[in-house]
Amino acid sequence: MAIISCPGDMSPHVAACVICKKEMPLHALSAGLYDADYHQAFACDDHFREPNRLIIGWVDFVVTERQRHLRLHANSLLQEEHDEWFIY
Amino acid sequence: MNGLYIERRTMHEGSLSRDLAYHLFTRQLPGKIVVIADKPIIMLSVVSKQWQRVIRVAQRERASTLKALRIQELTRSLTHMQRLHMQIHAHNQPNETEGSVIFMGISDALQHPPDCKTLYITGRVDDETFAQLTQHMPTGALVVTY
Repeated sequence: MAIISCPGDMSPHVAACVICKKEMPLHALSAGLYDADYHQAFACDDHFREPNRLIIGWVDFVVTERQRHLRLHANSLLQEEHDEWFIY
Repeated sequence: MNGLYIERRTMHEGSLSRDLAYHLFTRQLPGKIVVIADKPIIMLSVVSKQWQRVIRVAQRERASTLKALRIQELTRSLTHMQRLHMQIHAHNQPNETEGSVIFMGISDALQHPPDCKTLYITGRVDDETFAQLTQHMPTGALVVTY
C-alpha cells in the first residue's frame, strides 16, 4: 500500500508513474518530487525493488522537468527565476 | 489532515532504514524533512549508513551511463546528497535549515510539531497524535508512515 490520502480537491484517482509512464491507481504509487508546475509527481511503489531504476528514473524526470521549466520561463530576463526550480 | 498527502509504506525487502533512505532520495528537494522515531539517535545512525549506500548506487549509475544530461544531473544530485545534513532535533538550533533532515523523538515532536514538507513517522500513532504531529505542515506536504 502507498498513497492512502490526498489533499481534497486535488485528488486524482490515478496518476502516471514518472519512471514507467503507466497510469496507476494512487494506492500503488509513491510520492516523490514536484514537476515544473509544482505539482506532486509519483512513481510506482514497485520501483523501490529496483534501486538503480528508481534513481535513474527520478534523475531523468528532473532533467525533463528542468528543461520544461526553462522553456516555460524562456521570456524571463532574470536567471534567478530560471534557477528557482530545483536548486540543489 | 485533508491538505496532506499521506503515504503508508510496507517493506518489500530489507529494512525500514533502507526503504526510508531510498524514499528520501525521491523527496530530497522539496523543503525540510523530519523523521520521527522511538529512538531517533539510532534511526539517524542507520539511515545515514543506508544513505551512503544510496550515494554509492548513484555514483555507479553515473559511472556507467553515457548520456550527458543524465551525468550532469547525477553530478548535481550527488553533490546535494553528499552535503545533506542529518541531525537530531535540538531546541532553538539555528542550523535546522531547508536542506536538513531532522530526527526527533515522538514526545519532542508532540511538544514542537514540525513545520516541514516531508514527515516520516516510523512507529504506530493514533489519529489524535497524528493530527497533533501534522498540525503545522503546509497544504500539499507529504506524511509517510511505516
